[in-house]
Amino acid sequence: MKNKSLIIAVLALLCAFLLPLLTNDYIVQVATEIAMYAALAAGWNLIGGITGYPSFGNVAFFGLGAMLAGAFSVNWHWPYWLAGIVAVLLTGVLGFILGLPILRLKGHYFSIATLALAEATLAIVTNLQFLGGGKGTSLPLIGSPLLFYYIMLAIACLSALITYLIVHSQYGNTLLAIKSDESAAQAVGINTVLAKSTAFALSAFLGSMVGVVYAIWQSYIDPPTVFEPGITVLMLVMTMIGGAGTVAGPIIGALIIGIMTQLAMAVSQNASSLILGLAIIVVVLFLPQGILGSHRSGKGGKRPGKHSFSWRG
Amino acid sequence: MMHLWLQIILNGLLQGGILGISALAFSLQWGVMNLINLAHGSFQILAAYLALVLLQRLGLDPFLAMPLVFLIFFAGGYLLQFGIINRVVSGNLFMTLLLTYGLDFVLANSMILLFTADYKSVNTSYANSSWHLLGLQFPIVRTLALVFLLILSLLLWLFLEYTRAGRAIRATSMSTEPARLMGLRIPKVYALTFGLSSGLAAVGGIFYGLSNAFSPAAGGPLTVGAFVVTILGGVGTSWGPLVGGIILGVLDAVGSVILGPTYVNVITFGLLLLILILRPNGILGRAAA
Amino acid sequence: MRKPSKRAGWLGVAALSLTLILAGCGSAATGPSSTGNSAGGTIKIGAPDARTGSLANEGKLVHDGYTLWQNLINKQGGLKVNGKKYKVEVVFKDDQSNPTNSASLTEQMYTQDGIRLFLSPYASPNIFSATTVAERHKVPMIAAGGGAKSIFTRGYKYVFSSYPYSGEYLGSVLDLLATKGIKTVAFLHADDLFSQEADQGGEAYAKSHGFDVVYSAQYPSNATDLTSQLAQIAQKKPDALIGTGHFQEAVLLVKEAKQMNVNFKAIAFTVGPSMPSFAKTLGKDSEGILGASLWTPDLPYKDSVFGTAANYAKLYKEAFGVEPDYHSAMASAAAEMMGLAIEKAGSTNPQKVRDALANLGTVSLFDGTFTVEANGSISGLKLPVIQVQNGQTVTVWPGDFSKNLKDMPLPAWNKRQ
Repeated sequence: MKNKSLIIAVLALLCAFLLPLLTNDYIVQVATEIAMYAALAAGWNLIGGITGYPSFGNVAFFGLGAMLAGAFSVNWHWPYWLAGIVAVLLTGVLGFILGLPILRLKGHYFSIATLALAEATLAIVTNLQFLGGGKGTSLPLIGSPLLFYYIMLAIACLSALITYLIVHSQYGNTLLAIKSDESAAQAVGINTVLAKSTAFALSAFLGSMVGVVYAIWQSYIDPPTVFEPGITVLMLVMTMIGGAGTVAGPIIGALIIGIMTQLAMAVSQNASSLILGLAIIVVVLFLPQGILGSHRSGKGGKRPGKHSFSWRG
Repeated sequence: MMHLWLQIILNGLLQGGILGISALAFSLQWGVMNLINLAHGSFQILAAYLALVLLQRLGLDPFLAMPLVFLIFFAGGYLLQFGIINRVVSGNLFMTLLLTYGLDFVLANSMILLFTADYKSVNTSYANSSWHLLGLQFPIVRTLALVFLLILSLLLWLFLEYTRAGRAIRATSMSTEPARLMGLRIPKVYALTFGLSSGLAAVGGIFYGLSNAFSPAAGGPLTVGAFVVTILGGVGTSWGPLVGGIILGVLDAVGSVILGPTYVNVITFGLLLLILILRPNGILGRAAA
Repeated sequence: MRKPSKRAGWLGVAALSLTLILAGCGSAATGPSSTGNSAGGTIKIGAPDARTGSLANEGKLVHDGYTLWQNLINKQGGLKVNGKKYKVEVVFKDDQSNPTNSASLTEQMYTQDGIRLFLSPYASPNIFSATTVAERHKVPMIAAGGGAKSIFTRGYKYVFSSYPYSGEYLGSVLDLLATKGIKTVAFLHADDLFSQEADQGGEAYAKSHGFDVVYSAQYPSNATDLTSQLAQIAQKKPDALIGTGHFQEAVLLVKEAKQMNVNFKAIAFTVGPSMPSFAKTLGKDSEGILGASLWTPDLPYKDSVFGTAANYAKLYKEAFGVEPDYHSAMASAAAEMMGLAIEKAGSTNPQKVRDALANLGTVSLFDGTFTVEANGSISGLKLPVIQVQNGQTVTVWPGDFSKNLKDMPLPAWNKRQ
């Protein structure tokens, strides 16, 4: 079975690599977006799927990566690659530090804390003229669409590789233990705080990396666009549809949503969003475990008979 | 100067009414069913459109139309929960999120097709008027929102505390298993809860429609606002939205004057983060377990 | 995979084949692009414009503006290119108000539909995104829906516009206010690109023209409560309030100014009053409010396609049942610039059309006389000011139109019927 997965992975990569030869620039553009979302969803999967902490604020890292890299390159005239590396590292460290207090929260409370984190980051960035403020940042037009496709593809592969390595490591077992029973994990001496924060930092690191590339690819970024809460929701939707906690789930989810979006747009001009919404509802009702169907739910995932709180009047 | 500050604090209190009444339904769904309804804002906008249609076509005043809109939404919510949401609500936590996200998409885009993307407002003769008392301005709609919020919170509390249906809802919110053993039909209780909260969402939506201009895309920020208010006040109590709304309203009003309105969101979400980290169950909620 | 299953394998294969099918669709669709824009005697012009999402309202106005031009040109027989008449077709795709989509749809239309000439989506961020694709492919795009200066300072060669810079919007309003003896002004603006530029331009103009700016603040887009700002402004007792933001915030400010009983001699907005839904939404409370505008049906301009400005309004109303506001008119003007350039170039070759656009020089259309600048922006447009009177918008500036001005100073809220 393991071999089969490997063969499929290699085949998929080959297809993705050769795709530009077979198609036109538009398909490449769509594929770039799919790769971008696959990487974002894979980053979300690390904290949301594997560790079982449903983040609603991962877009903060994407946005920070984009705005920081833009600001460093425009205001300080750093070469973009350097601005990007510094932005990614900063965001990763920030993810770790912010993770320490926020990851003490569980379930919905964690979700909302991360949502607040993203909205607060948006508000702060909008008020910082150095970061471009509400006006956004305009970057020079460089590179070719093909280049950005391969970069996004590389990041998507990197995300999948990181996920694979984590899932098959001792660290992955630690995260799984946290997901299925955190207090038990703590009891056997696991440093859960460190483990969770590291997962959050990795998630931030990947999200930021995608943001950095997105900024130079689009060449203009403004806070409402790169901190759009819908981007986080898409990461979640894609991961859940593909199968949370798996290596391939986020990628398959990104592919499905990406293709569904294209089909919906082809079918109807003014109801494509409506069709997409209906499609999501249908998927939820008829494929509730995700495509890969191996979503293992821990305490946070499966609804327990007992709620974490009760109505007290 | 003193007078200015009184007015500003009053403005915050009244904005708290609008925020709180908008969060009432969200808080109930969350508290009872552990359901985060991402379509919450779009429900409210839909109610605002319904009130507008009733006003324009039948000349029905929004406050007179309120019971009717409440009933329509109650029925719609009941059926929606019974037919669709119940299928996933007892399963994976994220699936309900996904489902309501899809629902939000469908609602928002159906509204564009039905009502166009034009901005509308429920405009009555009194919508922009205010009462003048003690040298302060009390905008009629906002004042009524706070009054309604107080009354609805009280009614909700009485309902949950003293009626059979209310006790069933509370029993279910504590734990589904024993409730089932007690002979409660969980799907029905959930449908009742969702119906009730849809009706409450509709009331909040009418107030929003009276006090703001809205378009089909306006639901998202309302959902986020309900999130914040619910957490600030605490999940699982009838008084949470009132407390959360007032705290947020006053802090935003005072903060926006001291620091400038551009920092309102920094205050709101910074405060939310702080509260979550220090007191995860909200101001009224129990201390962190 | 932790728990590899047969299902997973099959689904992987299915996903792969889907990719290949998609790839197949793509390559099949590259066919017609070689035939260029004028396949079948029709010139296709692409417009990635919002039908859904937060910009759907303005997106519709732009959409209708482009459509009106298209229908009219076709009724007149088409565009004359090298002695032959060609029909035009504006191809719309819904960008869902999302700038990333504006870019990818532009790419789609370029690559799959073989479109080489473009009109822009609405809103500056979407224009930024879409124009990068046009610039990469070296095809012209005329922007109708955002005048952010930074769109034109990027050194792009293929971006043009029918809009003046956002910073110029408020000049006419302030000129008008000056003639009415207004001295002190309060500014409130949203935090997005357009609002910031328009506000900064307006404040600078005010200060250099002898006004006293007594209050200025920025609020977050989609603000739902500005009562406390109004209470603060009331303390400064300014003659006029100038709001630069979005439609819903303009409505909110009027509602709340009345609720708080904060009175001004004049209230003006950049976005809001010119749209028909402003008066509809606010009813009587909108009476007397001024709006910075880019075009009105009363202006004395004309051209060969639409006739006079008044005739434009008539045609628009026949087609869509409502009065046009400037968003639609400026969109039609952008489309008209494209048509002009195609005829002048005698070709639909994107490079030739681009050169023709760059060399348009000074042109007179139904929306006024303006000059296309080297960076693709336009200058010289005389901006009108409108006022809401009896639920209609009335032109009250420039020049002689000021005799139409009513309710100046505005009656106090409690003195109105």
